[in-house]
Amino acid sequence: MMVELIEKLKIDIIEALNLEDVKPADIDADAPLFMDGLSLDSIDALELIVLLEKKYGSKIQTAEEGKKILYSIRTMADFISNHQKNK
Amino acid sequence: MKNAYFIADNIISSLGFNTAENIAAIEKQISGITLIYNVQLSAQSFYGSQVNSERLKNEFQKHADPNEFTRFEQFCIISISDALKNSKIDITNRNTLLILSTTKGNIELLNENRLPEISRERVFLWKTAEEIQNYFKLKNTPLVLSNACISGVVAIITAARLIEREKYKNVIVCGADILTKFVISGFQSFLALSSLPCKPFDKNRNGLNLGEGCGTVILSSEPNQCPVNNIVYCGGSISNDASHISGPSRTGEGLYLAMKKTAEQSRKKLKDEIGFISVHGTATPFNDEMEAIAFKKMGYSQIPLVGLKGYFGHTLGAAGVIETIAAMHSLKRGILHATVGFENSGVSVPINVISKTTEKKINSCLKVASGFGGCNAAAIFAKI
Amino acid sequence: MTKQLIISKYCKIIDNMIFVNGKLVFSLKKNIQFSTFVKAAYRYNNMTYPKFFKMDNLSKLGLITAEFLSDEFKTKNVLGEEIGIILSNSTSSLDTDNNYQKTISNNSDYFPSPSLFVYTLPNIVTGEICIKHKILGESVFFVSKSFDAGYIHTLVSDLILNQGIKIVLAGWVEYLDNEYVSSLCIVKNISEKAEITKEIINFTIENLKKIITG
Repeated sequence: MMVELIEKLKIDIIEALNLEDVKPADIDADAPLFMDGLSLDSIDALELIVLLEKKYGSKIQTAEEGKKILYSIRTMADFISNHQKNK
Repeated sequence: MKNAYFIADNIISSLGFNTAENIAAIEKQISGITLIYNVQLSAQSFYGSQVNSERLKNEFQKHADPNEFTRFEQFCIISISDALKNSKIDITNRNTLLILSTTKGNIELLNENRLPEISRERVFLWKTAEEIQNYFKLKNTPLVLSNACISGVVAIITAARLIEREKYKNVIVCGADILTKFVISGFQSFLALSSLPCKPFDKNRNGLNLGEGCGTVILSSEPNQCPVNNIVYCGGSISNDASHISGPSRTGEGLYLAMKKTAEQSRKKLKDEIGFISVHGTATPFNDEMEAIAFKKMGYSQIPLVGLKGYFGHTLGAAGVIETIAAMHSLKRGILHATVGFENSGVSVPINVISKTTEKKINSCLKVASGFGGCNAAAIFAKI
Repeated sequence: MTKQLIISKYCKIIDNMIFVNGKLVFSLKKNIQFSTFVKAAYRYNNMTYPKFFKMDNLSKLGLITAEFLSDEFKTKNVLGEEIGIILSNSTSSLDTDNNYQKTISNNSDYFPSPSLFVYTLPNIVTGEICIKHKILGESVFFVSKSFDAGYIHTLVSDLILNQGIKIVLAGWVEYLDNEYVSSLCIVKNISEKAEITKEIINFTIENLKKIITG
């Protein structure tokens, strides 16, 4: 379940953030999204918040909460599956 | 080279429909920011600054049929008319130019249910400018600029330069923006709006409030006949951070550059040190910190800072003009305005924020602004 | 010392054709979508600039056009703060405005997009050019019904003659609903020119109009 969610997330993120030339296999699920690696910026972070709500029904309430949840693909996947469990 | 004098002005905002009403409120530290409940603007309530619609209708009926002009156009026409009343310029002469500054103009027209009787073509900024030109029978096509939050200051700088080089005798600068779902939703998606009235430079600041309004200032190569209280343009500059399109540079490099060039240009006309700085001060964590750092780089840490967005909110394309007009009246009246919302400094370097209406004889002001796209603008004006 | 202003280089992109100094340098079939065309132009320039793919069409168009003129930004003895940009169009950022509006017009599918909203200002295209080429000087965006050579000539001249700017990128960049035209030129003092070529285009209102709209 988690593996599938992580793969789906990777595809959704590549599309939502227009990451041209990036394939799901290129993204390490545990690597920080906002430092090296994909070098995402603040607008990307905001767009990921929209993605989580729009496609996964999981709303991030504050910027501080967002920093922790958006740390890596895995932390995002954890947030989604916890959120969906508690629905 | 001629001097560019500021000879007349008008402010339309939540605080009133002319400059006097607005300045009176500011001097009493009365904020125009309220909690707005309006589902046409936002599903959730938000703190913002809104022009009174009932009064707008009554005021505009003195000019034309409100059904034939958009809210944005009504702001501009009332404001320009009022400013013209206090000047003797012949606006139908070819030596007069209108510069219009706005970020989104009639963007509400993208919603086809809004104002169905108004042509959708008016969403083009040149077309709405043409409506205003035709109303006033201006000979020259207005110059329209759209440069994010620095638009107003850029319009004033452009106007002053055109007068200094004798391209025009008079330039009417009008900056305006209205509150719309389009803009509010965008800033909400940025998590940039404060859940409370904004607190510029304060340690508890957490975002901006949006506002709407219009400012008109008329510049001319001929000063006002009354020799007292003439204000002249000393210099100005525009720059880019070349760093990020939606966040200010952490080092304040771009704003510093604009201020440095402006100070150099103004040296001949400035008799003494700058009296105060009218800041951009949006009350976002990053903007105010960046400005403070840039001021320190310039050696301006002790210069009094005045931020007006606690009164008007962030009026985008109007901000540079409205806030410049208020700054000029500070010079004329010898009164520094309180930075409403500020209590305790929340930036990493020393600053001297004015937190109470203060009488002080001051001769000059530096106005600064920064905006999306990494742009910055600075301009200095002085009493002669 | 009096300055003689010249147009030293220009680039026009229209109908999937790219002209530099009036010569065709790259083209694709006219019926190809802009997004495909502009990506091909990106690759043609051997660019490695991932931010390009996050931009809206207006910014992509402006950035690619500037790329064909970018050797001018590297002119010796010219600092980033001595380069300015004056751009204009008639529709501002309307193409992206329409796309953003779609994300907020339906109450039951209401998801305002920050990555679209950031491009709902026309001066973002100048901002993107500034970021890529480290341009720190004056940049302004104007809106007019058609290219106004008179106003633009006055403003560009003022930048170089009075505001300490040595090189200005100026012109028209417009994108709406897959229809587009981008026409930019470099204006500078003749003494900044690296080598004197046979043809010198003086910076006059007439020449500016011909270069940008011809």
